[in-house]
Amino acid sequence: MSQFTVLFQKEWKESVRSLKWVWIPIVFILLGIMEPITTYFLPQILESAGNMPDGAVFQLPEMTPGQIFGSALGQYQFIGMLIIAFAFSGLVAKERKNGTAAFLYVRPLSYSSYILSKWSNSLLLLLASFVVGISASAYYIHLLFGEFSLAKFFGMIGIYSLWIVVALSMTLLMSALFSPGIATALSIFLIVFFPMIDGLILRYWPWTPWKLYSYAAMLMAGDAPNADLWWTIAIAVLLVIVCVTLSILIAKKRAAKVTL
Amino acid sequence: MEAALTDIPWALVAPIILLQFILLLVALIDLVRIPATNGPKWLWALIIVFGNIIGPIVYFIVGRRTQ
Repeated sequence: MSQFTVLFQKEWKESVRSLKWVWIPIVFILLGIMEPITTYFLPQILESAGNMPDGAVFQLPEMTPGQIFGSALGQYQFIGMLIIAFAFSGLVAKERKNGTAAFLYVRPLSYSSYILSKWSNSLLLLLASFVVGISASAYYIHLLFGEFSLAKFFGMIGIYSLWIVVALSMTLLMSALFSPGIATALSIFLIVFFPMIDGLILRYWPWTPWKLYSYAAMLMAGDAPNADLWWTIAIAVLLVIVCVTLSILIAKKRAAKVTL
Repeated sequence: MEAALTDIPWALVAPIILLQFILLLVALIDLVRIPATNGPKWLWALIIVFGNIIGPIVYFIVGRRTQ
């Protein structure tokens, strides 16, 4: 058995034992289905919860399925990313802190399989959860708001999945670089807050990977994909490669300093 | 009041309630079986039960102590 397979199995067992394979899919499904349901029943919710004067009528805009997908993605963009930052920023940092890393480092270890096993296992979990969650969302949107283009739906899944890969790779790099607390804080900045301010400070540069979320939402709302999208995808892939390579190099460099 | 209860489209809302319940149950079972948590166990039980969806999530992220 190769080293990667062994380490992958270790990661797999750990994510099963820590119940990540239970709670993350459930939360992602909930995020996906709550958005269409609350939007659909908003008039009734307002009526029963708000102190509206008698006879007050207000017109809620008619929502298209594409817009609902956009707001469902918004849920993943905020709560989903917070979960990634909190649950995965300890991947390397925590092992270094509690001594598992030292235990591993004394063996003749391939650092690329060490990092790649963590990366691929977390990715499998996150992408599976996202696809299941957004599919549940699609089921409700189809039921409550009507038809949508299946081709665009798959396009949206592809673009947003790439963003999840970028977010996880940056979190992994932070985890390789810093202690658990700092890694979490920096990951939150990079994948939760930076996407929010990206539109302001990098407004005239359309190719940042932080805009993948907007491109995914725009695609679903009806815009045809343009050249900007392809450049963004290329840069995002490049960023992922850089983050993972750096993580491997840092793990290797840190290993030399470990003393027992 | 009765009319309001039957107005709720249970077929649509049931999956949400079911999933939330599973999440709560898994968190509570784990809390009982785990040897130690970050902070007192009874506090985590309260957070899980009354924290809606966020309670179990916070427990899984912060509360479980990995040795």
